[in-house]
Amino acid sequence: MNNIIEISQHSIPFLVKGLGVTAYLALISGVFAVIIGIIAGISRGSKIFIIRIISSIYVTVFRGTPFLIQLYIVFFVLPSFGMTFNVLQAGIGTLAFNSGAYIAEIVRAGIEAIPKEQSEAALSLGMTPFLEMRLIIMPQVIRIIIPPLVGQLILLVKDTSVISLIGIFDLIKVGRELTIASGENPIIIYTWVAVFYFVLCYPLYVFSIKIEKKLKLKY
Amino acid sequence: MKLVKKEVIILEFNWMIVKQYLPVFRQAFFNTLNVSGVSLVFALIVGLIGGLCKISKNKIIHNIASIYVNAIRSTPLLAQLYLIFFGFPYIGIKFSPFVTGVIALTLNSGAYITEIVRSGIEAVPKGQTEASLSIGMNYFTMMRRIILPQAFVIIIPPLVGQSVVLIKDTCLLSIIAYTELTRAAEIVVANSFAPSEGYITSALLYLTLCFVLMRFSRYLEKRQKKV
Repeated sequence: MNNIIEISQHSIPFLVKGLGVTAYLALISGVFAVIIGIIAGISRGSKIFIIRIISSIYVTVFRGTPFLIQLYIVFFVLPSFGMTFNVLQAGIGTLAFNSGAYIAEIVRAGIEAIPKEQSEAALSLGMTPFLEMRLIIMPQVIRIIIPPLVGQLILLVKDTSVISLIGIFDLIKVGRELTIASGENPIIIYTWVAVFYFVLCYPLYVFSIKIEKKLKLKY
Repeated sequence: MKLVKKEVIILEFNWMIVKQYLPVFRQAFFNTLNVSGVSLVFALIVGLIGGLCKISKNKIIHNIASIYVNAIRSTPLLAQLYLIFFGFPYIGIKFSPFVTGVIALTLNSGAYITEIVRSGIEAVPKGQTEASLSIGMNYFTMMRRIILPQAFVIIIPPLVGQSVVLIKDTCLLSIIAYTELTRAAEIVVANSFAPSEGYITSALLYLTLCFVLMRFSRYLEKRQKKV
């Protein structure tokens, strides 16, 4: 028992620093992912063929391949094309585009859930498609998509752990290095890693349930 | 892969490397399918049991299932994998990479399938439950003959979606040296210093697998909407 407390006391300060890196990665990637996702989701339903095709290919490719492979391609293959990124840029960029593809699907499903009458009424009032999106469709869409969106953001927080495999010292990499360097009981250290991820993700999950209840009542 | 600058910039993708390592990719492809399939079967069993536990009125069973689901869904698969892969040898149990992968993927997907099964059962109209009970069926017969068959039909699209996620999750097994598609790419890269040929080939193979499944899921959803 003393051993457990001792190991925990030694490792927790380092783990907290890793937790900070994870939170930072998740925050920056999350903001970019939502922006990319909304743009791609709207583009998926565009009447302009080239925009629709490009966004569809983007969503299909990024949803059909594992995040780790995407990360390896951005970090190891793109330099041959002349685009070199450091670990942080590659990690945040790839995570933003990966989650952006899933968010695009969520946004598209939200847009398709809005009755067509709204769109027809807006256009018959003389609104341009842009105004229609901004004033009528998107406000309703945002209300609908908040629960699955928060779910996707939880997945985003968990996916930051994969970025550790190209060298970022986030929570899980700190845990791994501690295990290797100290040779101490890996079960204790990784359990603390899991606890810290839980502390990061579970409140988001509770938040999504509360928001879902609140939005349902509004109707 | 070379960036060749002539009048126009062309990219040469060295297909000879792909051809040379084709056996590796083929074996890795089947390994990926193998570990995905086995994990999926076990995860379905775990998910079915878990789903039934989560709708149970017994508080202890319900809470155990809830704790399991919340713990798995709030932690990354990589952390769970490290815990199993490094934790078990520490207490003396040694598994092969395949078994470690199956355990980790089963526990992880099992939690998500638990939620899918639970929402499927709750989506069956309450009238079915009431009618079955009023005929005099006990809980077990009602589940077996009335509720679960209907729930099963409802949950097939999200289950296909979850198997796509499972196939993509197998890529993390490359860390524990199981030769699936990502590890095959790493082998190619290590031996031939050609990252493009390795990773892009793996990416294309994953894309084919997932694309087929995603289309299948969309087809199933459309069929369900008709009913």
